[in-house]
Amino acid sequence: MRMRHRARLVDVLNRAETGPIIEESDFERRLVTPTINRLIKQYDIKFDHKTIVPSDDDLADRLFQAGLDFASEVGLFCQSTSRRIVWSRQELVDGLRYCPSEAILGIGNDSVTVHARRPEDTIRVTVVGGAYGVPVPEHLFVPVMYSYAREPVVDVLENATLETVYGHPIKADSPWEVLGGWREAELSFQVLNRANRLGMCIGCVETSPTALGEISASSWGGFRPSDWHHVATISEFKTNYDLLEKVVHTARIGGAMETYYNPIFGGYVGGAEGVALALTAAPILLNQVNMAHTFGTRPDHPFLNCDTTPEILWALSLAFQALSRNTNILISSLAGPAGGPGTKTMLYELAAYTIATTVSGQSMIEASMSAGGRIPRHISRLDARLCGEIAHSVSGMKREQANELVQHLLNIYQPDLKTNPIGRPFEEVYDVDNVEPTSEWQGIYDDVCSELVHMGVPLGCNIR
Amino acid sequence: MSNTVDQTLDELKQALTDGDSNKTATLTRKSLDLGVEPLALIQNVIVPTLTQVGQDFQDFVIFLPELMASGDAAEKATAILEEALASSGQQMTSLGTVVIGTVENDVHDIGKNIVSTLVRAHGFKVVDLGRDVAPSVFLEAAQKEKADIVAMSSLMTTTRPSILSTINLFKEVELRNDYKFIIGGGSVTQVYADEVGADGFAPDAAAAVEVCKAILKK
Repeated sequence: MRMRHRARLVDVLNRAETGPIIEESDFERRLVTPTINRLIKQYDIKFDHKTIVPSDDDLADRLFQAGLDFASEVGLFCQSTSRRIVWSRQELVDGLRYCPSEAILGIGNDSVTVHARRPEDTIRVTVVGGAYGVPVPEHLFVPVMYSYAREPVVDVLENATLETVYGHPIKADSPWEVLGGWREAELSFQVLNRANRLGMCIGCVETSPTALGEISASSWGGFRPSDWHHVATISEFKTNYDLLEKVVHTARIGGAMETYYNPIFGGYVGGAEGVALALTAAPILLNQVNMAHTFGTRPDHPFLNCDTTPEILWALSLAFQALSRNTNILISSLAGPAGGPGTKTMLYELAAYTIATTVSGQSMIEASMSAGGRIPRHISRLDARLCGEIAHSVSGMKREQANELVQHLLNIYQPDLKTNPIGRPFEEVYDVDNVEPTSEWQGIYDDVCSELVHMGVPLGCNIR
Repeated sequence: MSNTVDQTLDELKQALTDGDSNKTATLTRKSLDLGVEPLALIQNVIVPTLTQVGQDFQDFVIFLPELMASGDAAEKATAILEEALASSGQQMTSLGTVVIGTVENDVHDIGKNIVSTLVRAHGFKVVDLGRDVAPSVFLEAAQKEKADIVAMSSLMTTTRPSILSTINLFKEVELRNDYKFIIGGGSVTQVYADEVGADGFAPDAAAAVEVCKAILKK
């Protein structure tokens, strides 16, 4: 895991202060939107609702070239300086040549190596289990996260969001944020101890809307450099000094970094084609600016709060193929079903999502932001088990076969998406003391697994 | 004459739908010159056209940039009509005034922009304060604009406490009951809205329009 590309850190900061000045609204409406629209036409990128998992390599390669064009023409907007951080096409291409093609997350026997993959690759996908962004009360944090840490198919733990610290709201950019970050670290290590996986990598610091939480809680005694330090992007294509401060800190502690970008379907980037282009361009830019190890995404549907609609699945699949065919970028994706714990809808959505993204070349699958990620306590580690098992079982599967499976699953769950199928909270689908799913929830899970096997998903094969 | 008026109004509808601000302004003035009453223009052309544009966005026939362009065009037309009404001693009517913003320390604003534009498209006057809005700025704007509704958005659990700080500030200055508060965003639920004493909660942008309408009917 050589991070040769972090040598440009000072250059990044300098460009954030010297790049072209632009109003934020002009950046979004006069630069991002028209450039996306033009490049979609120029490169003939078209959504086909019959082919949610495309197998057209030429289309994927055209999308990659469009992504490179967008990245070099638009750049990333820095809110703190009202400037664009811009790079030439050649600089971006050179940056991609030196991005890490593998990353080690965690320590010793509990570590995992993430590998670059290609479409239809048989290389193992890394499985992240947790509840990113889902609010949980302090008293449930350890049982919830322990449920994921004890799951053998889970390689990396992703923390849920603490609702309070010692009973008080965690307020951004305040001492409460610092305290919240430290409390998250303390409870996370309790989880690893209980699971006897002390070196396991943890996604962190979730309670860090500004740089305060990250910088404090990943210093001595807190989260470790071997953990998975998160740096967000603001939609669309924006960063700020808080986020760049996280970049500097993580680079200087030699930390493993996940950076992510979550486009809004129907927003400034438009529909399926625009989301696909944005998903391709963002990692190219973020590789240059944030210099991360892994590049994640969780696109969002503004009315359904999920990333499992046909348009978004198509965009994810095509963008991942574009990136994985043309770069060594380590792509990670966060499943965000509309369905929640206790529902078959959630399991069908997760199955379709995992199949579409895995055969398209992602390196990591993360599960999940169930019930759209916004409903407190609507979490269940069976989501991670399902995604992990499916990711391993479909590695090497042809995209055409994956497309048939995804279409079949979409036919089952798509009508449910508008019914707000949030399911039930953790304590109603789990025995909290034993941290085991209730027999009812386990039964539903087993039924869906049987259905998936019947459909042709080779679950249980390729145990890795 | 009637044909000319009808044609002009049709062209105005199209200009609004296309988000063509300059053409909208020209056609609005032309409509007034042809004798169309400002209030009739608002009620029969602008509001229904924008409502349709809003619905097209909800159906993803169009996307946010087109929605916002139509909103901008409508704002141009509205400014011209306000002037015309004022000169004849009349007043602009709207469904109500909404002061909206993303709460302090929250820099995410796409969701709020969608709500802002949809609510405006459905006939409300909207004062958009942007992102990272301090409680005192909400208070000042609500007073200045004589708002009916204060709408707050928070994406993150860690910025959510600013919703309560804002409502508490209105309470401290004894103005809480002068306004209706609606909240939404990724970190907000109905349970939380009840906890902080908000008057309404919208799970998404489309629902926000209905909440605004319902809350002012009470």
